[in-house]
Formats: sequence, C-alpha cells, structure tokens
Amino acid sequence: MIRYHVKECYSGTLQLATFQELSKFLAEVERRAYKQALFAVRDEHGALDIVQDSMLKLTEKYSGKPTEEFPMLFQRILQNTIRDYYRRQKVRSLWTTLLSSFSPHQEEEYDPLETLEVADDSNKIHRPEETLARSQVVKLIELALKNLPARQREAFLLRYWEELDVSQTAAAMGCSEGSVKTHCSRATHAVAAFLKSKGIEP
Amino acid sequence: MNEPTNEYGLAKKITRHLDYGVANLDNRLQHRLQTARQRALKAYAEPRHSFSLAGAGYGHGSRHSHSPFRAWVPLALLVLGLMFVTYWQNTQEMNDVSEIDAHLLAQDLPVHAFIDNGFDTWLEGSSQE
Repeated sequence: MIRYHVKECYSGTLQLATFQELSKFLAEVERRAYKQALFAVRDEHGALDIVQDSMLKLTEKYSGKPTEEFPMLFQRILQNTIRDYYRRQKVRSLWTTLLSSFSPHQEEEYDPLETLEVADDSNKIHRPEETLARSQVVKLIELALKNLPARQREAFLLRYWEELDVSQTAAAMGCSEGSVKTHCSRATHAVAAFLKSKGIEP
Repeated sequence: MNEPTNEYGLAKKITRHLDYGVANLDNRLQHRLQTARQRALKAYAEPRHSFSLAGAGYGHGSRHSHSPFRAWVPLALLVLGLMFVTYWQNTQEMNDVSEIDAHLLAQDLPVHAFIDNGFDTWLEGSSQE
C-alpha cells in the first residue's frame, strides 16, 4: 500500500521502485497473458508476439501510472492486441484462400484433440500418475476454453482468472456489466458441461 | 449484483486448474516470455539515460514515454536560434551605420561636400592631373 503513496513524488530512487514494480507486475502476469492469447489465436508464435507487444505498449505508454491500474490497463491492451491479430489474420487468410485456389493440395485442418493426446515432457514432478491426471484435466479445460465463443472466453478469463470485478471486466471488454455476467455464466456452464461429458467433475 | 455462489465457486475451481497449468509451463516458453519482458522493459529504461529536457516535470505519464511535447523542443530551439541570428544581424547593421556616420563627421571636409556635384567633378579632375 505504501508504494502507491510514495509513487506520487519524483526522485531518482522512486523511479527505480516504479521500474521494479512494473517488472514484477509483468513477471506475474506474463504466463497467464500468454495462455489467454494462445486460447484466442491458437498459435504459439502469435501468442508470444501478442504478449510482447502488450508488455511493450504498457511500458511505453502507461509506466507512469499507479501500479493498481496496471492489471486493468494491461488487460485492455492485451484484448486489443488480440483483436488486431485477428484482423491481420483475416486479411492474410483472404489472400491465402485466393492463392490456395491455384494450388492443387489442401491445407491440413487443425485438430485440437491431437494436442490433447500429446504427452507433456516438461512436467518432472515425483508423482507421475497424479501429475498426468492433473495435466489432462488442465488440457481438457484449455480445450474447452479454446472452443468457447471469443467474448465468453474473454469475460470468463478476465473475471475469474484475472480477478477483475464486473465493472472492470465490462470496461476492458467495452460492453455492459449485464453482458459480462451473461458471458461469464454461459462460459462457466459450458466448460463444466464439457468436463462432465468427459467424466470429470471440476 | 454478484454471480450465484455455486457458479463463482465452479469458476474458481476451473481457474485453479489453469493456475496449475501455468505454473508448469514449458521451460522454453518461460524463457521466451522472460526475454519478451526484458525487451519490453528496455522501453522503460532507455529514455532515462537520454537527453530529457522536455520530460522534466511535465506530467505523470510522460516521464518515460514519448511525450508529444518532446517533438516541439527542436522546433522551439530552431525558432529561438533564428530570432537570435536576426537580432544579431540588425545590431551589426546599426553598428556599421553608426561607424560610417562617425567616420564622416570626423573628416576635415564638411558632409555637404560629398553630395555636391561640383566637388565630385573637381575631385576627378584633380586626380587625373
């Protein structure tokens, strides 16, 4: 709490504290931001680019803001960057469709179930069965989130994962609080239903 | 106003699983995210080492960002420079005129002699001789 008060003043040492706060904030938020972007764009490189762009925009434009405003600002930037990515992809895919009509072979379709069955080598924890079971649940949840309509997923992640309140979520999404509640409710029930269909009780 | 408790509880259970997934993110991805963060933070650190006359005391958010005010500084300096050059040239001109006046007044000949046509003719004739 004290840090927010001392930030009002400007001096050499306090600037350093602000830099540290920003760095700490970004370190805390970067992994979740990456996952959010990945759910939305389904491309690792695209998601990493989105996170880097968002962090850069926050640093360049809003580093002088109080730390308590960072989560909200960052989420706004992140969602806008994801939308920009969609727009660029749309234009790109239009050209790809036009050009591919001249080529003889069809592109492979993305199948999320393929990624579901790939074993995750990065988990090196001592109880492999438990780890495996848990990581499978995580993968199923991530799959369910990927398959949600974009606005429902956005509302769910901002409200429950990023823990913004309803009004902040509405502001970040540029919609009404009522819409946020509706999106959140539908998303939660859709994910729960998906897990139930796979025999998992969340 | 708030969501139903069971819905909120359910959502939190789901996000706990997501937290677990994020905590066990691939090392390669963690490293790439760390690199991305360091790159982004450079944008914060760089302006502090550069010339930052315009940013001084200007506002809360403009300390490290590219302030629009900053763009006006070179222009303002240019205008000030031009004003100084014009002022200096005018002063020099006035000094030159006053020096010529002083020189003329200090001569033995009266000032009217220089605008008298007869004096010019006499001067030319005497120089030919």
